Amino acid sequence: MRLDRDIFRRVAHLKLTTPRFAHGPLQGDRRSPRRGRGVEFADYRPYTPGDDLRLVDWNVYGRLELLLVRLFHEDLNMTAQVVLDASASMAFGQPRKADHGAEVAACIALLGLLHQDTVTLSCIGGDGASSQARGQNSKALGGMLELLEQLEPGGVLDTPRELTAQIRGKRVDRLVFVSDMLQEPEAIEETLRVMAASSEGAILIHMLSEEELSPDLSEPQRVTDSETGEELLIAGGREAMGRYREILEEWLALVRGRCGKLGIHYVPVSNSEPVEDIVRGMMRRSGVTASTLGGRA
Amino acid sequence: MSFFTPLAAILGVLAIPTLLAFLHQRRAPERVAPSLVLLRRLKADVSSQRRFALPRHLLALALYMMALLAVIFAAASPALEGHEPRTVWVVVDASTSMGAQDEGSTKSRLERAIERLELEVLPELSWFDEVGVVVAGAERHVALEPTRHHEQALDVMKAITPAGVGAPA
Repeated sequence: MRLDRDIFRRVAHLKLTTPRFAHGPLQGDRRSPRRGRGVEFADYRPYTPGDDLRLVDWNVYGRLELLLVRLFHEDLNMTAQVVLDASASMAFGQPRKADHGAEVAACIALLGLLHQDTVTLSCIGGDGASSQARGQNSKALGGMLELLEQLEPGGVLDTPRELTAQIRGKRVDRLVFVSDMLQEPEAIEETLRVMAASSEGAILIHMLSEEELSPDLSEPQRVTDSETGEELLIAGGREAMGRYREILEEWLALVRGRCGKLGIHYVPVSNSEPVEDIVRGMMRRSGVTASTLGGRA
Repeated sequence: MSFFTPLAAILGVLAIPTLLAFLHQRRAPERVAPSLVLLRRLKADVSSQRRFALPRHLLALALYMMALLAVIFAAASPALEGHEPRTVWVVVDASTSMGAQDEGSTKSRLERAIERLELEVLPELSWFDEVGVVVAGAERHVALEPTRHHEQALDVMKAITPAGVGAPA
């Protein structure tokens, strides 16, 4: 796949927001539910022998003669997993949805890495040497870009199963799935459930191209499914085009509605929108990214 | 009504390829789509799977057929009752006596006969009437088979000499 690396400079000032608490394995600058060393006061608890005397609040002891120890929120990094759908259907559009999605995925991974988050980038489907790259700082970006550049979209995808295999049963703070979601309604439901169960801050970047948004149905045609090879004869004409628009609207409403119910951020994007606009505009508006000038996320 | 050239009806076979062209289903163009998830919900066009189907442009087909019928009708040369084509045989006496000039005349009998034929008989014929010429003299022979080219018949007659032998053109 082809990636435009210039885009990274333009989005580097952003960071991924933390859903509520970060649960990363390393020290970071995101609030975690754990009590420990940090700067943000969390609570008091009675002193027990062995506690660090520096944590005793002597002002309280002076007023109330109670030995209380100050507790702080421990600051950790965040775990983020970015998953790119590289099935055959993503090879359509100009630019290809897979290329465009890879750039979005790389940008999101970069935003995590720049803030020492533990980021895993995965690709499901496609023909690549490896399907996962992981890292905690910007040095890992090279490996992730290599993974994306080596990948070619292709193949049929059992999305819920592949997604489950990539997440490996672990919960992550941020799960970003870039996909066209061209699946049967049951598979969509299952995919979204897997996402919701895997992360409190799941994000679906629903990427569509003109092939889905306004296909040329002006005349009868024999259409072949790029993934399954199934053939279908459809009657073209104005009536078919009108009916297709209705079907598309229903389908988009279904995906959007299910995301809303399951607490997944739904970000619909088109392959014609610049990656910069997607990351800086749409994702920021939905609270997924924030400017680093805003301070602690 | 009768037809001068009923064999023109054979042009009717042209209707067969015309009809086939209209009834034949052009094979639907093929394309590959990312997925059929959405397209599958469109009503499948069963008719486009057949090789032949009812034509979509019925008005055009009707106009084509009417035009072809008109061409065949015209080619068959229709004629109303009482206006059927006639075949007129002109028998010219080419004996030596026809070369004689009657008193008061500067032309021979044969020349006068042909002149009258040109001025009185041929103009009365319709374009679809046929004229044939037989020379009768010492010998008899058909100088011209029946034809609609009346001028040709006249030329043949003018070429006859009263020598007892016809001289067809």
